[in-house]
Formats: sequence, C-alpha cells, structure tokens
Amino acid sequence: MIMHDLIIAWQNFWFKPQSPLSLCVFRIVFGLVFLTQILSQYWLDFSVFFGAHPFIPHEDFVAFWTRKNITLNLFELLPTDDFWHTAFFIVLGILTVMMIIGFCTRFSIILVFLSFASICHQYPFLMNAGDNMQRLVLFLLSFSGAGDCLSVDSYLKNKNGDWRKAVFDPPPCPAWATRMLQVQLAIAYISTALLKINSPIWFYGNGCYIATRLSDFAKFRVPVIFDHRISLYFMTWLTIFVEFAAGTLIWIKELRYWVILVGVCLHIGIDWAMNIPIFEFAFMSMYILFIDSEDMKKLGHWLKLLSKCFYIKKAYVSG
Amino acid sequence: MNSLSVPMSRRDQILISIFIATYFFCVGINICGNCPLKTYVRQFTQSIELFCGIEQSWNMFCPNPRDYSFHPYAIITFQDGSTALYEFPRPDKMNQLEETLRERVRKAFYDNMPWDDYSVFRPTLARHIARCFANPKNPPTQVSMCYNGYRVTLMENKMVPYGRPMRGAERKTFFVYQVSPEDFK
Repeated sequence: MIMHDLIIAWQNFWFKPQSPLSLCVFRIVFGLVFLTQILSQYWLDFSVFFGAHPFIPHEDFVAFWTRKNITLNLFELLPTDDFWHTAFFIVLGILTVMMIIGFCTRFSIILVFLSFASICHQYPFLMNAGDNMQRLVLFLLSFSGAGDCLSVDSYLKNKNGDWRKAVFDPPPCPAWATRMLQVQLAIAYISTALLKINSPIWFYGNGCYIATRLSDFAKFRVPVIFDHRISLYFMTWLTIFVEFAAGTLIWIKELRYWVILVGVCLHIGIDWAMNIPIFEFAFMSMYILFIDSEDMKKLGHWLKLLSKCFYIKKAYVSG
Repeated sequence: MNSLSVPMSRRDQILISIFIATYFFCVGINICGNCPLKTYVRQFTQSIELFCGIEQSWNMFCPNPRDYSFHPYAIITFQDGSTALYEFPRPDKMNQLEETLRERVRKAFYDNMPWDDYSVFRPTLARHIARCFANPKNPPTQVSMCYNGYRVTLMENKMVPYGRPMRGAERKTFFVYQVSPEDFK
C-alpha cells in the first residue's frame, strides 16, 4: 500500500499536467538575462580568454583539470583562429534571440546549451555559480515544452486556427521538466545554506562582514547596515535563513510568494552592494517557475489593463 | 491514461523517471560532503557530468569567504637589471560600467590566480606576461607575481571600516618565474 502511495505521489509530482505558461514566461525572461550575460561579460576581454592565443591555453586546462574525461566542447571542433571563435559567439547570440522569441525553440535551446557548455569548458575558471545555474537551466529546458506558448512556434503551428488561444492559453502538459528546474534551484539554495551553516565564519555572524570588505567586489555603498556589528550579524543569519527558505518553504503554497519576495530582496541587495553581474538575475528569474499559471494569467491581464490606461492617457495628453 | 489522468504512456513515464533519478543521483553525489563512498562513486559520475555539461558547485562565498583583500601585479626584470611593473586590472580603479563588463577578469586574477589550487597555471601566465614585454635587445629574465593586501580580521577582533578599504599593508611574492629563451619561440 505504501509503495502504491509512493508511486502515486511520484506521478503526481512529476507528471501531473500543468499549464506551460510560467515555463514559457521563464524562457523569455531567462533568455533576456542570458543574452545580457553573453553581450556584457565576454566581448571586452574576448581575445584574452577565448582568442587564438589566450592567457591560459585550453590544453593546460585539459592537462590539469579535465584530464582524461571527455568534456562537451565545440571549440575543439573549430579551427584555432580568432575568426572562428568570434563567429561562434555571434551565432550563440543569434540562437539566444531565437530562444527568446520561441522560433525553432527546442533546436535553439539545445544549440545554446551546447555552445554555453563549450564556453564553460573552454575556460572553466571564469565561471561562477550563476554560470553553473544557467548551463543547467539550458540543459533542462531543452527537454521541456518551453516553446509551447508565447512563441513564434506556437503561432506558426496554429496560424490557421485559434492562434490566440494557442499562444496565450495553451493546454496543460506533464510538467516534469519544470519540476526538475524547480528542484535544481532548491538544491542550489539548500546546498549553499548548509555549507554556510557549517562554516564558523557564517555561523558566528561574520559572513556578510567579510564579503563586504573585499575591495574587488565593492559596488554601490549601503548606508548604516554594513557599518554596525549588530546589523551585520543579522544580515549574515538572515542570508542563511532566506537561502534555506528558498529551498524548502517555497514548496508550501501559502508561503510561496512571501519566500519569493524575500528572495528577490536578498538578490537585489547583493546585486546592489556587490559586483557580481547577472548572477543574481539568473537566480531571480527562476522564481517565475514557482508562480502559478492562473496567477500568471492575472498578472498578464493587469499588465494589459495598465498598458491600455497608459495608451488612453497618452492619447488624451497628445490631444 | 492512468488513474491520475496523466497524458503520457507508462513506458514514457518509466523512461523519464529513470532520467530524473539518474540526474539527481549525479547531483546528489556531486554536492554531498566528502567521504570514501563519494570519492569512489564520483569517479564514475564525474565523467557523466563533464560529458553532459551538468557539473555543479554551489559554494557561493562559502564555506568560508575569502578573508583577504588585495591587488595583484607582476614585476618583470630585464637582462640589464631594470624592472617594469605590470598591474593586473584593478576593479577598485574602474568605473561601474567597466567593472561590470570586466568581472571575468576579476574572477580570473583575484579568485583564481593567486591561490594554491590554481598554482599549476602560474608558469603559463608568467610566460604570457614575459612575451608581452619581449625586447630582443633587452629580454625579460624573471617574472615575479606579487600582491599587496590586508587580511580582513573578524569583527570581534578589529572591525575593518566599510566603504573605505585599507591600503594593502602586506606584500607577498607568490610566484617567481625564470624566463628562458625558449619561452619566446
């Protein structure tokens, strides 16, 4: 009986049909974050790391890091030439735009994943946890129906029928890929919270203090909070609590939006105080996956009303 | 269709369940604490992770954040005894936009280069710097990689003021490379 209940619970969790609306909104928002990442993070020092003569050649990484393991790296198939490496990045940008608009969605997501995994493996020491998360998101998205709505694909598939319904109100489908993305995010938060709680620096309240005293990370100044011991202790323990909550309490429906709210506050706070571009936005974008599709529809409706009000006001002002 | 009205065949459900279980088994092995069992299993799962591009690590400012604030530079000594200074890009001297656009440079030269885990890459880096200063009449003979910095002491001992970074009181040479003529070939 228990076994049967477990199977039902497993099926219920992974395979129960859900509207793909949240997943498709996530595809667009995540795609925009990812596009910003590849446009802002690599091009200025492109030749230093990915050119024909980088600071540390890829062979050194193979010799000392990956060793005999086979890594996913399309650069190894390209000629060692600045032209080809530059072309690789341009193609990645184009594919990302295709992913955002949902044109040949699965194909473009798979290629974006292969390309980004190649970048990560070509010069692995440039990558941070935000890059890890984006690579894993792309991997899992390639199995999902992220192009089922809000996409050019869904329009083209139904252009002779009721395309509005297909694009904006798609039928439910098994949500196992969305679930995998949600669980992956929860694992990341729980893992980092556990590591912090096992560290004497964080446990005794010095984590935020030390992190905000590193001059290479400094961004905008935060008044008062980071000047006093009591607030620094509080912020350190609050960080651990929010990370735990974002991995655990987020699964409780009644608490979900509150957890998302404090999670967003935490990430915006970190992004304000510390120079870790894109990282926080990659994590924040994943909260969209936890938003109920009905609430997403309501949000869309409000935005539509808001834009109508704005349009009417603009028309009224212009006479 | 089964009792849950899942629009998916039982065969597909089983295949996807195996995929889900395998994925999270690899993730679990990757992120769990070090133990002999993990070391043994990880030899197999690491190959799968690297091949599929799903390796992961979530040690964001933990377990212990770096407690040393510094700026690295290299001193290049030439054949005639003269020296030149190469300062690695310093985020604290950049404007906000440049700091954002060059975050990966910070990652490479602040989070990786000076620390022992990455020491195997230092000769390559030193050779690269030597080549940048190549002069046939007066070639570089030595590259010393150093940093100036200060340790961030715990709040209980002495609180480092926020927003006014202290000048690097400590200087450390963390790597010295003797340049050979072969390095320029």
